[in-house]
Amino acid sequence: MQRYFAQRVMLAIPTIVIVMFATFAMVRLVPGDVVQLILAENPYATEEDAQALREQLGLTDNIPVQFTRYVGRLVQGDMGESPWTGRSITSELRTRLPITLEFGMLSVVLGLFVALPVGVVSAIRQDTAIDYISRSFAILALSVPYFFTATLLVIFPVVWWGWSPPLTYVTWTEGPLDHLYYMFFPALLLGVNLSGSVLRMTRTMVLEVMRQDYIRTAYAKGLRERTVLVRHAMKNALIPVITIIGLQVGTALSGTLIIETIFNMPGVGRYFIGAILARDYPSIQGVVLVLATVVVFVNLAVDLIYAAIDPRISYS
Amino acid sequence: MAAQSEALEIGTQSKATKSRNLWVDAFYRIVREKPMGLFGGILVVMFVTMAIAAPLIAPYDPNELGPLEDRLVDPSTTYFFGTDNLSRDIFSRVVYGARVSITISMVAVASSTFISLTLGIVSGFFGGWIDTAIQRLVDAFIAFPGLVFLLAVVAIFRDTDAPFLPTDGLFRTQIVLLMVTIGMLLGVGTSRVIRGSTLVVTNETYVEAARSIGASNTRIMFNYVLPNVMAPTITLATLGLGTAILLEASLSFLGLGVPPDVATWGGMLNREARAFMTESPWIAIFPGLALSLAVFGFNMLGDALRDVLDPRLRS
Repeated sequence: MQRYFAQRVMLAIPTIVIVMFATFAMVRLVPGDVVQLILAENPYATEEDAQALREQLGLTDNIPVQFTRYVGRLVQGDMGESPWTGRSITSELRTRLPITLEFGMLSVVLGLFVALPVGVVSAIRQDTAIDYISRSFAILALSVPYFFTATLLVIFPVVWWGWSPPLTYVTWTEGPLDHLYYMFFPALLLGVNLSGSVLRMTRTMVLEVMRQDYIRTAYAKGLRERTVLVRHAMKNALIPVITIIGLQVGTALSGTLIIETIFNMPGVGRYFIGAILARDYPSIQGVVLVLATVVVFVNLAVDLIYAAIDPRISYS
Repeated sequence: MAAQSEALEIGTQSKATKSRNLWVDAFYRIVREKPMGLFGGILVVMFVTMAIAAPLIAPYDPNELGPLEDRLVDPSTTYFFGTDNLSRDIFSRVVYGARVSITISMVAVASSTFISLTLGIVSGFFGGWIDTAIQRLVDAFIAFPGLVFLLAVVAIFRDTDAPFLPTDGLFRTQIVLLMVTIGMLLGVGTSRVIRGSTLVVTNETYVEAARSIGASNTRIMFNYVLPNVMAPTITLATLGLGTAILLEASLSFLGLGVPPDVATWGGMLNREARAFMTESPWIAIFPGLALSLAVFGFNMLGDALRDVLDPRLRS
């Protein structure tokens, strides 16, 4: 087991290096002169500004030197500065990332609250009306885009009742309840969208487990259905569902980027979209790097948890 | 249900009907056994027809600015879905939006199919260090959340104009870039499934037989592996069409997808339109419904295809 843990952690390292290289290459892949493109936004830029920016972006040396310096700075937690605000990207992201992560996690959790019970009921009442309704719900959840439901959530309460969901961000310290109130509705919408695939996965896994001999044995012993389900079926059925949660984190982050722009949430997503519109390449680079790293680490954690709690799996 | 369809499968096989074709069988099974899949198929046909015959169906030009007094009007017989803040006919814009969504997703899925077949078959067939190398790269690629990757590519190339592409219409640089990038995103992700199927096929006796009569690797890959991974490929492509439509709409919604002079479902829901939605909710409802129905149709059809073509893929 320890060997598997060590191996799995080692495997994450090349992935992180590739991610770093990809973000490093990003700015250099921009066709034409990236410095001119950035400065085109500022009509008063001079040749000295261009040279200064070139130095700041580290574009003056050869590629291996540039990459080493890039990695060296990253290791110290330095992602450079935005050419517009002059502010450090690391500190910008430090205030924004927690908001995005909190929101993403909240929606994954809310999604699970919907998906797990519905998925289990759908499986144990297979081919009944409940099953059909919940399966149709799953496909609808996967098909209706959350930016559409979120738009409806913003406009319809206003049209019908003159009430609007809160659109001004409140921090934890300003008021924990207001903060949760603000986060809840958007997170629920994204959660419903995420619940589609988990629901289907849960249903399939429970169906598969319920066909096993040991479930029949449990019933034959005269155990109540509840005991069979909770003590025997759930334990085995839900383990693979954990892996899909790892996959969801990427989807949840993508969703957060969009939801943030609708609900004016000061997270990484709005910063990212703003940076793209302003051609702020260093910031774009920073956001991509941080989000990809988050996904790599979450998947690492999921794999380790999976290995730790499933005694049937032996890794060679 | 699984047991039932297995029984049915055995039943149809033992009948030994006249000429049997995988695709004809799949079609009849969907019609007979999969009402939701059939419904999805009908939606798909409807949207594809809408895309092809857009100029015949739409009563107005999608970008034509109507008279000022017809601004933000409710649905009526003159304007089936009402008009937006620039007095443009929403029905015509939704119909032309189908053309954009369907074209982009078709090209995207064509490139994703090419990518996933190439990566999946090469990786699964050769194995060894080739497989390891490809799978490492696929891993790193999957680490990027899909939308983040798309946005990053848009950010890199948004000032580029490829000289060999038209500057107008649906095949201008920015839109082609979108198609290819969505294709890459879907293709790399689904190459895993193709690799899995390739591994199964490569161990079959008929591949061993082909090898023993001296067939080259290329010949085996094209004549033996490729036809036998067609079932998952078609399923993945159908589901991919839905995903591609969603991705394009997400980007256009953010204002970073299809340029604003082209009517798209996602673009019709974006920030500029949102300012007028409380006044006239129609401008949000119809494009959103079209988008949801199209994705729903492809998902339902894809699900049914997966059930009838390849039960192993059922997730």
